[in-house]
Amino acid sequence: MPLQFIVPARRAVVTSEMTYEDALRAWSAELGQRRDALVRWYFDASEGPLFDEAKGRLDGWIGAHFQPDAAQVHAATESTATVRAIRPMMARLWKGPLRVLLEAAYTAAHPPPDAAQAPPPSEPPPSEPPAEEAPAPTLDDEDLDPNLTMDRRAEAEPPPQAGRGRRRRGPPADEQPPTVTPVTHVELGGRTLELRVNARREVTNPDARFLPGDVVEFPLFKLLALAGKGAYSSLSFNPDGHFFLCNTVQGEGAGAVLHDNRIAMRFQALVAAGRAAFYALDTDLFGAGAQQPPLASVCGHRVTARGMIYGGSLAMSMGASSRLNHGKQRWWITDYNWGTGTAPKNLPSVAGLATLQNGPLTPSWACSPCMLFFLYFMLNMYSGSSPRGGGVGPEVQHDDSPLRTHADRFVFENPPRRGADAATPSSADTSSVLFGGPPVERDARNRVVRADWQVPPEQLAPVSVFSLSHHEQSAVTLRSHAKLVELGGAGQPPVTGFLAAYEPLGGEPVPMPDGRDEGLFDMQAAGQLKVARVSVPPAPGTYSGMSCRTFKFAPMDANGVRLFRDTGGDIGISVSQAARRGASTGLHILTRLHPDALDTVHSATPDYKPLAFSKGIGTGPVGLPEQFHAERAVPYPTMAEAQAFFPDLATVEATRARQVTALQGMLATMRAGLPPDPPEGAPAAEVRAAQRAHRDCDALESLIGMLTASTTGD
Amino acid sequence: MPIHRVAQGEFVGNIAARYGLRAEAIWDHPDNRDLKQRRKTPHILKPGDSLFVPEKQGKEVEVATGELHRFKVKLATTTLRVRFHLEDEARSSVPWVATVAGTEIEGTLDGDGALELAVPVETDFVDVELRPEGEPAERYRLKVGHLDPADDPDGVAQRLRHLGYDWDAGGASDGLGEAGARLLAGFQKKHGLDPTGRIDDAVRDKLREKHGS
Repeated sequence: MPLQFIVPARRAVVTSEMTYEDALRAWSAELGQRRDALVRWYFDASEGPLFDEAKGRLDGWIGAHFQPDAAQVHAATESTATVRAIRPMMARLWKGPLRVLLEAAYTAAHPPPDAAQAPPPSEPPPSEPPAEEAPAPTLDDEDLDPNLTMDRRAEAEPPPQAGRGRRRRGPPADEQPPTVTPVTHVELGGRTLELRVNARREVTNPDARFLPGDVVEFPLFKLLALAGKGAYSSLSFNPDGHFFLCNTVQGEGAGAVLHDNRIAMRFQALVAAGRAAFYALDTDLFGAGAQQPPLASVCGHRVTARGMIYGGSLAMSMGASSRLNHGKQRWWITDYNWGTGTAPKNLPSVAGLATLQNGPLTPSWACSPCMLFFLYFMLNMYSGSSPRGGGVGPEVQHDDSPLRTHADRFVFENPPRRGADAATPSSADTSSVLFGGPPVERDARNRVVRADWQVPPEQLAPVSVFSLSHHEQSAVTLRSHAKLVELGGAGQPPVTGFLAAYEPLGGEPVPMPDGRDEGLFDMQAAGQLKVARVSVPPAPGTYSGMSCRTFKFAPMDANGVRLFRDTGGDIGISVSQAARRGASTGLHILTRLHPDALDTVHSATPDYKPLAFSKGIGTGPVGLPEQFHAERAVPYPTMAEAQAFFPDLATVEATRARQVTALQGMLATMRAGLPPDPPEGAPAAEVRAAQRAHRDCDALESLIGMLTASTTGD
Repeated sequence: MPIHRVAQGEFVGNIAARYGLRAEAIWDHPDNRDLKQRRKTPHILKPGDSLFVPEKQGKEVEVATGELHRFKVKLATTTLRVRFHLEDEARSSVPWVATVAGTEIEGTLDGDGALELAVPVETDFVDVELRPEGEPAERYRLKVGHLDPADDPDGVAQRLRHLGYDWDAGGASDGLGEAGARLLAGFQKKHGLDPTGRIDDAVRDKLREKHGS
């Protein structure tokens, strides 16, 4: 099917050229296939027929909307016939890379008419957002040319009296009320294709065709309203929404929850960011020394696509460490106007790359803290500063996480030894937060030498990030789209608990190794977002750009995470089948997920800023509360929503205080149970036991000390 | 005494005009009592219905020779009324232009969302264009006299289509497909009927009510 639904029954990537009508019929077919799930999510058990009734009217609208001839009405004389329509079920479009480039090419070949001949600007239709609510720049393609042709119709003469007609006095004129419709064209395969969109980015011309890489969203909310769900009746497409970010719909509908693929969207943003990159139609762009083939060929155009129009950069380390040191160094993320400016700046194209030469670019951190930072923010895992100053910091606050539970127990049972691990607590990623659990292998001295622990994906947070050997990885639960649909609980649309990544250009799901439709995967991203020099042969010279590699997904063997501690005291883990040993002496688990983060009523405002920046010393004052949250790269549609989801200073401190209090209680208990110092000449075993007990207390006290002494950095 | 077999698009008014009769002369004829009882209205017949058409009764007028006499023929007209709704709300004040036998008539929809036209009874169709402000024009062809009775499957289908349902996908015969049965059950549920998914008298009555004919 030329539509790949990335959110069931709502949002899809176009994978091959198709007509508007075919797209809507594909949506209808999708609604039919997902009927039971949709009814389960949105309706009471007895209301299923209302969904069917609404879908029948949707199908009727599709038939009428694309009918070239006049609609037939079988009328009886001397009585009434009722012709009932529904509100237009037009699809919202985000232009894909191919379309954006083709439009740019068309505009270059067909310059707009002289400004003097251009039609005068007209007032927007009443349905448009007022000017003061003009949207913030969007991430997407809406690079509407100011010289766009406007489809403006003359105003009609005063209407006649309602009801009965009167004969016209003159020939029919072009009497349409004024409409403002941006019109764009592309030439493809010898045809000129026209596209008209309204203020909500809904496609209005029935003869529109969708191109590969376009993303469309269908008005499920309208269908629900049609089916009697009044809460959805005031919703509309958000012209500033982005298909990555779950803010595609706006309105005041209390209780109007819409299912979405939120985590996947955030994750997809990461994929795009990680792939950074650029695309061009007929020019291969490649990093010096790393030529890559184009990904696709569409209608004779080679499309070099390395992701969507989304670039990110995280800068810059002021110290020698290869990771961020929150509060001491500064970082920011910027998008260089990719996705927000007008062509060509909205594109990571050759011209766009040329604008980057003096900008701050991502240091070449091998495992991309940038990417992980994105991940933390997008999954609500970021909780502020790192007590130890480490780049990925031990913000382990998800009390219900089995990872956390096991880690706490393991830490408690297996504190670092003195001497060998003396430096551990101050090392950025070698503190002693560890997995544990049966079966545990112990050596002759009762030290844990190996602990194998397997955890079913359903017990894990969707993403568990950890660092290992100075390399950040994530244990990710992946499910296929088909599996995703099965996950909706009775009466609730699924909004969390899954990942289903897709290829940005083609929309195909990221292939899951060995054909699984569900499982725990080790995700690693190496070499993301590092500075690269880009050449465009045969033109001389190079541009500064970003290079990246694709993500790596590796299935974890039997969904297992293996923990081991070697006889030297070092601790490591292994995922998948390859054990890691050596430098790693610790593990950080970052699995904080706000329990309600993904279940609240959707709303959106233009306040959303997709990428955020400037944090720390020397980056200017933070004057507004919104800025404070924006600094955290809030991937949420409203600041109010962000405030609810993201910890502010008070909650971070409260969390820390809670942890300290809990640990102090634990320490007091342990100290109360400490054996008295063994007398001189006591048996060695008794001495060792006493020493171990004291060591445990010391380790815990050290941990409390670190938590207490740390600052927020804010 | 000819029996007229009703074709699609015919109703008593235009049949009567063809035979040079008044509609009442046909409809009220005792030989049409059964049909009248079955169809209830002379404006909605089913193709295949048999209609008795009485002999035309001539009218004699005495006039003088050598003079010019003017005779006025009264052409039969009929009224078309179509109301346009957006979901369940009347689309009032929407400008429209109708073309009747090449003549354009314009107006705006009334408070009930309706347009009303007096057209010659032999009119086969009327083209109507709605011109809602800020939206593309909508074109309709009103096929005069083409509505079938609601107790006929085709009449059910026509009314459902007018009310915005994609009945073609569901099937219009008694052998409803799954999609059709679901759609019908939805219609029943929406209107407080037992959602059986079958066409019954309650469905027909509700269709007549919602459709207006």
